[in-house]
Amino acid sequence: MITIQDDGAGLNVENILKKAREKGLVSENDDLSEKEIFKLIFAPGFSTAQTVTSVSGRGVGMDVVKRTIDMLRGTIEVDSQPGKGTIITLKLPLTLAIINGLLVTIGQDFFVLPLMSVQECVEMDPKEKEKAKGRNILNVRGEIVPYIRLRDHFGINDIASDLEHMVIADVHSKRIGFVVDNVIGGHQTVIKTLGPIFRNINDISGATILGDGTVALILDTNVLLEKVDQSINY
Amino acid sequence: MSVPGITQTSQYLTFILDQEIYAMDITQVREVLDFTKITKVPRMPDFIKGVINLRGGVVPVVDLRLKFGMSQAQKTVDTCIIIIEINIQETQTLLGIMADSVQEVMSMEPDQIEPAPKIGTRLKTEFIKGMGKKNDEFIIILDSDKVFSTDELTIVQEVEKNTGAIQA
Repeated sequence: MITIQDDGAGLNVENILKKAREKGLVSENDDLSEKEIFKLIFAPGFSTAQTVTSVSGRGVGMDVVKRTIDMLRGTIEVDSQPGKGTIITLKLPLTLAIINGLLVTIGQDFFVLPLMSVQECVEMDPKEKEKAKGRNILNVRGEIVPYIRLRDHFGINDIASDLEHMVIADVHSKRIGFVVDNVIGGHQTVIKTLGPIFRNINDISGATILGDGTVALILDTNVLLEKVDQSINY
Repeated sequence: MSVPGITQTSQYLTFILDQEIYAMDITQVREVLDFTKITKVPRMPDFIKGVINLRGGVVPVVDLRLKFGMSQAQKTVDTCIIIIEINIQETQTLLGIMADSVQEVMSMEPDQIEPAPKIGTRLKTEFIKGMGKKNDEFIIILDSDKVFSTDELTIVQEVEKNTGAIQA
């Protein structure tokens, strides 16, 4: 959600209504609420400006804004108080959200973990793994960190590398490890939705397109945590 | 004899799956792509191959051969992905279907199309809108609404749990 606010003169409801009537958008007898009157400013060619400048006054700007936002499947709302100012609220769907992500590989595939929750990455020392005797926990500098091996979770079966890496994330104040093959690095991730077909996969929150066109899947660490929680036994 | 529901001459895109000719109404076809890299989405049924990058958007790809119980396709230079637009859960969604090759766009009149036979085809009869006949060949016209019913598409499969033993 994006809010844009000013402390200007506010929208002049009377002028807008008058202009709308002149243009035939609204009949003499129509009674419009304030919100509906504000919406009129988005009509194509609509402007209450007395003079036209190089950047305004033609009734084009707001029309373009509304069309673009509609195309992005968002919404735009205007609120105004005379003498106080105007507030414009844009709501854009998650498909346009950008998050900072951590790009990792599991097998041949790329995945993204939201960087916000990531605290550190460690190499999984095979000796330490041995010591855990089959339980999914690792000793990291004296602390026991439970982990989920994403390879197993997703059933990815191609040959694992000898040295795996663990991304330790803070999820709801718990330190949980996510084991991947390799950590590539930070990645500005534009989230694309996967669509209705994949709506039942709750631990993958979307996808992103990498620089070379490859699709990487974005993991939802909160949902993954819930799954780890259920499987931890000390 | 013609099929109720097919009342006018329409154009169809024909394509090959395991040596048989199938067709879809052209109004649902958006474009045809060369085979591109598919990113696998884990724990989906086999016939959902994954997703592809279509000009910045993410589009799922389905292997109809697997869905219809045929053997998995061998990728050749002719293999393509047909992008169709269908209605899933009240929204228009893009979906890619893998085909061994794409043939042509052809018109068929209602009287060239017969109802689907009850036996003798590999697919469930409900997937077939009708059987077209052109130049001595049978063309199986698919009913995309039935073929892509949501329930089958959205099943998430559980991964078989390993014992948790350490990788050897």
